[in-house]
Amino acid sequence: MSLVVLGPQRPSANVRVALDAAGVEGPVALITAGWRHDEGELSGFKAELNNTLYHLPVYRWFDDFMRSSSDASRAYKARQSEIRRVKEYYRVRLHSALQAAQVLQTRVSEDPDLAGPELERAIADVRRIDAELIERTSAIRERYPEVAQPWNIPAVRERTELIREELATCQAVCLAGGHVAVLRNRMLFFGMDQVLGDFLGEGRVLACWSAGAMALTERIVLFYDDPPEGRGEPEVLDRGLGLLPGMVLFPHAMRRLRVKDARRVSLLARRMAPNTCVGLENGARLERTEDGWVNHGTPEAAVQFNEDGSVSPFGGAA
Amino acid sequence: MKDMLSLIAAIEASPDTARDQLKNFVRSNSFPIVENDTALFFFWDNKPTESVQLLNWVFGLESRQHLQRIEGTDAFYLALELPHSGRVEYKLMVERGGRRALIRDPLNPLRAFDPFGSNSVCPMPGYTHPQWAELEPGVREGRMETFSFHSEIYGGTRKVQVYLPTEYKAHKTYPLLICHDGSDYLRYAGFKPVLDNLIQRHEVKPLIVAFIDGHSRNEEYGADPRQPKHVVEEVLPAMKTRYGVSSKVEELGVMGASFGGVASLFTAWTYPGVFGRVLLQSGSFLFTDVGHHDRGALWDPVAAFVNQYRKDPARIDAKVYMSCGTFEGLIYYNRSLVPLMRKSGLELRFVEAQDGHNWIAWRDRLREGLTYLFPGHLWMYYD
Repeated sequence: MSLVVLGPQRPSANVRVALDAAGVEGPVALITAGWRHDEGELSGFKAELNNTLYHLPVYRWFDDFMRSSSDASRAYKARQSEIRRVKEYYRVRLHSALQAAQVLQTRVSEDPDLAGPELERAIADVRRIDAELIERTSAIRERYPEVAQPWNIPAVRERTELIREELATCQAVCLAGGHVAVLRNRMLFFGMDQVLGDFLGEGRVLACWSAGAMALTERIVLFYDDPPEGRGEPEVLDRGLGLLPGMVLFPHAMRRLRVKDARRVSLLARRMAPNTCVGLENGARLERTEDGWVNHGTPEAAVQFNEDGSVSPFGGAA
Repeated sequence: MKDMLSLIAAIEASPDTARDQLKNFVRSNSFPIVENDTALFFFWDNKPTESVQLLNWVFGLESRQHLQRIEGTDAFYLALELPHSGRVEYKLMVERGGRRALIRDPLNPLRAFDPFGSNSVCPMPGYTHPQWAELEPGVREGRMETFSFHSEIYGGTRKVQVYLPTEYKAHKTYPLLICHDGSDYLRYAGFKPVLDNLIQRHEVKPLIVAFIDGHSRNEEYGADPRQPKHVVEEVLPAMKTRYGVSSKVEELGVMGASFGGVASLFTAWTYPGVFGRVLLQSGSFLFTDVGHHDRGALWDPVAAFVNQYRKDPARIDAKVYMSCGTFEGLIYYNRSLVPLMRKSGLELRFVEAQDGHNWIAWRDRLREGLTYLFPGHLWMYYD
């Protein structure tokens, strides 16, 4: 076993169960950059795990580096500002495209021959807009050479090497949730897609949950169907670290998504295909095996959203 | 209503069985009976009764309405058409032996509490009880602390109840919201679980709330110049001394309902530039265009302030959330301020609720108000 995806760790944590099941008795590395300023608050981990813990303070390292390099800091801020603007335009296009798809969904049952293909095209439009966002953000990153490949900057490379050294002594890495964009950005900044990919390749254990699991996927989707402010339209954040291909993850899906709305579920599933949309609740524990995903946790805590609008258990039973 | 008509017809046809029919009717229904947008209020307790009236606080409806007797019985009913998403608080005035008693509807278990006791509640089909009003499973609760200090302005000791979010750390700073009628907000609007839930959901930033109370509440909150001074020169510094309070104007807020709304707006107006966030619920914003109001001396300073405010609304530079129930007489005053506030350049959200002047209505708007004024990063956080 090497990759374990867990549900949110509250109200009851199951990370220890997951590590025990994987036979992890030795040191464990912790990445909590998603907690931002609170990344060093490890009392919960210390209470939960008996292992020797090595914390990788990626959030702080990033801030330290930015403080020490004004050129990189300036370039990074300008780049992020540009990406934010592109996302505003993406949302404008996305809103119209989603509205079209939603209207056509209501027409399909009465006029399947004509409205059906139109819906297909409308969903293709949404998918194209999603894909173009990722292309656009990648292109923007290329335009800022100072921070395009930060892992090649000596001061950053030193940190990355330090991470590798720490991980060499660890049997497992725990990647916690929190702010998914911060977590993603800072891990990629230190080249951790490569580092964690190598770690997994050595057959060691990577346990992740919530934003930590989302960050490992190929495509990160932000979602909240009934926000108190603004529209509740799921939107692509960016590409993730790509270590968890084939799925888009939705922690707290039962609370954050209208999972009983078959049209919304269907649209989300078709929009994200061929990726599987997986909802994760507290108690979920999925293990990636050679034969696919096995659900060791509470069965109903891991579900998948299907193109027909249904919601079904995810992964084969253990 | 169909069931009611059937009952009446059945009793008419067989008066001897009226008691059994009424018993059966009571057993097989929950009250008031709400169908579509009509609520049927019903009273029968198997005792001789001279009359029954429905007392409500819905602006636009008669505040007392007689229920109609079912001929030959001591049962009474009244059908009222009400707004689809409405929520009506009411009592019944029952007259027996020449005496009148004001009671809650004995057939309706739904209650709403306030400092004067409790009322029966009739929620219409479109009303939804907010899930976020009850502490959600697994939510980490913030903690309450209390401190007292001597108020030079009012003389005597004043108590402040402080909500600290679960992640509170003394070395960090947080937004602060000062809440008038704090004890009532905690008790009758269940403010603490609302904060716990919304902060945990990341819908609202982790923030500190200072719950304060007036001693001569109506006088102090009714545009009394001592209150803004008390809030800004006593409560705010006391909070800053004791807790990690942000110094950013946009992270300092003041709020209140009814006269507490007046006190909040009056504070923001008297000390412009101190509070960048203002949350007003059913503010008692009485004003006069010409002549004098007829509400009594307590309201004189209120009307004087609101009249002044209307002449110089731009003095406040803040983001404001304002709500009022359409069942309140105050809706006229609140609505009237909206164009004025907008014209003055205020960033304003005004929400009308199909509800009255009560704590549940104010609770039900807290999510909108807090997320508008102190939005969290809910789209980004997945714990």
